[in-house]
Amino acid sequence: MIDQYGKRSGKLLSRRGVLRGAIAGVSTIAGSSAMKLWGSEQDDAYEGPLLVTLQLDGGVDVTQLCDPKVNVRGEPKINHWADAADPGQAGNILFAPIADNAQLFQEFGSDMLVINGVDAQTNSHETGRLFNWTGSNAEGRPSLSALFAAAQSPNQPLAYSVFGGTSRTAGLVGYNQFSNLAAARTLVQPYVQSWSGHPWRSTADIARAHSMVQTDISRLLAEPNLSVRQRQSLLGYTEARASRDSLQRLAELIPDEADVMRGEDVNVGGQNFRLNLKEQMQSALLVFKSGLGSAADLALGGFDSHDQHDAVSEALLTHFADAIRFFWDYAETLGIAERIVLMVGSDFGRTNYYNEGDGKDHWPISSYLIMERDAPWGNRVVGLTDELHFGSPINQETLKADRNGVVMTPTHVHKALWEYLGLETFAADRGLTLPDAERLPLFDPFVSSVT
Amino acid sequence: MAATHREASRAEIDALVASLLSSAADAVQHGGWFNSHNHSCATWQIWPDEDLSDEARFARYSDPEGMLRGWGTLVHGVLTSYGYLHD
Repeated sequence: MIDQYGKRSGKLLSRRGVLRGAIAGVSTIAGSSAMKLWGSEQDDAYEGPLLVTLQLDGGVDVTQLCDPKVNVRGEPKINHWADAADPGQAGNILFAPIADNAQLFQEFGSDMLVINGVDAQTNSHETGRLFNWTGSNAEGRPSLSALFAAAQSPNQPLAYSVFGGTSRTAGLVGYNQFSNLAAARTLVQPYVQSWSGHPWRSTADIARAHSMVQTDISRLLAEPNLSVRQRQSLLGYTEARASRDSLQRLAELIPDEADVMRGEDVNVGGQNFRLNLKEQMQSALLVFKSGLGSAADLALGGFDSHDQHDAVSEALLTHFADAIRFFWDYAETLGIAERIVLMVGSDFGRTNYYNEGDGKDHWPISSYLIMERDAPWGNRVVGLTDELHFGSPINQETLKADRNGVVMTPTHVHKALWEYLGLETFAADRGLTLPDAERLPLFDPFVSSVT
Repeated sequence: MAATHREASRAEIDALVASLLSSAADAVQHGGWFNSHNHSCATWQIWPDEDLSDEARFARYSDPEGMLRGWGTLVHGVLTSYGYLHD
């Protein structure tokens, strides 16, 4: 049996819990000490660069996406699709000829950097997610999106929106957790019926209630012997209420119910999936358009296909490709496509063989896709795997195969992204570092691992 | 006035009553029913039976003095106040 960890250590971790349940409602998680539901004193719309991360939750099979592997004589079968087809190619990018991959890579390959052969060094979902989204397999560091939001738009009310995935704030910034646009609508229009658009109460009565609240705050602030903490709490409450007007910018953008993207229920291989990635994308893009935030985490679950792997993988990758098309079309419609970097990743990969249930289990090697409109570093593949999907060492400068080179880990990828996104100084000023790793020129348009 | 563990002062009570009366007076200008075009409280979350006879509907939703709507404003103000939320 081929097994990377079997060869290296004889240790294969058992399967852990799978998908997180859908997030109900809307809640605010304060990574910093102050709640940021309404943000504070920020009236100017944010118009800078934007970052979206998309977690393919459960461990995506990249040999069926952007690191295609055909079967090797004398070895267990890697992919059924390779019985009858060869990998497809779009520009410099090879892809597996299943799902809607051909259309995905032909349409977006020129704006895409494929990073293959990234070793998450684990078969644990939690550790894999942590490593892939923070660049470290130890707790304490922020996820890339949290770091980005803290650097770019720390005072915006919705600086960092989380619809799924792995989010770590490291105390840099709070995040707002949404389930869908309906939750966002309730958040920004608490006095309006979501289904009819009619107000719950008259404008005059809302003003009276606000006046009562303000009078109460004034009275409390005038009380002698207030502690510093009590005064800070009161002022924070006041600022939060005062700044919520900016959320109207989002309220004005939320489309009618008929135009809100809806999730779809899919049954594949005897399993039911609720696919709402487009809804997440629409919500995140509208938050960006409103100028209220700069980073968002999205997730598409179900990739932990220990049974009936091909059916599940193909269905989810089809939805993924469709959603990516929607994402960029909608961003274009909103006029913000040029500002976005989209990063797609997962927990880890899947085994280079099928198990007895025709499923695939956990495998530490995976890939990232980085997308940006008109990216000079697009249409490139960096990082290598061998024919059995083991991570291969690459040269630190040329990124070509080099037996004395390095096998990439998420740390290398995050190091390159910190540099590309201009986060290094911001992180250093806050004492944040990545684990030691070589600097790799992943965004240098003049080098690639495959030409 | 027991929404919080702290007893309201005379001044606070006076301010709340003033808001109640102001809201009620304004409500009367918009008719004598609890729900109207600009005020549609989710009453079905309070009373499960919405299929009422005319008499029962009048008894429940008639608001000739605007006091139902006035108290709605008062409850809104209290339940969103710092004192209540941080009590």
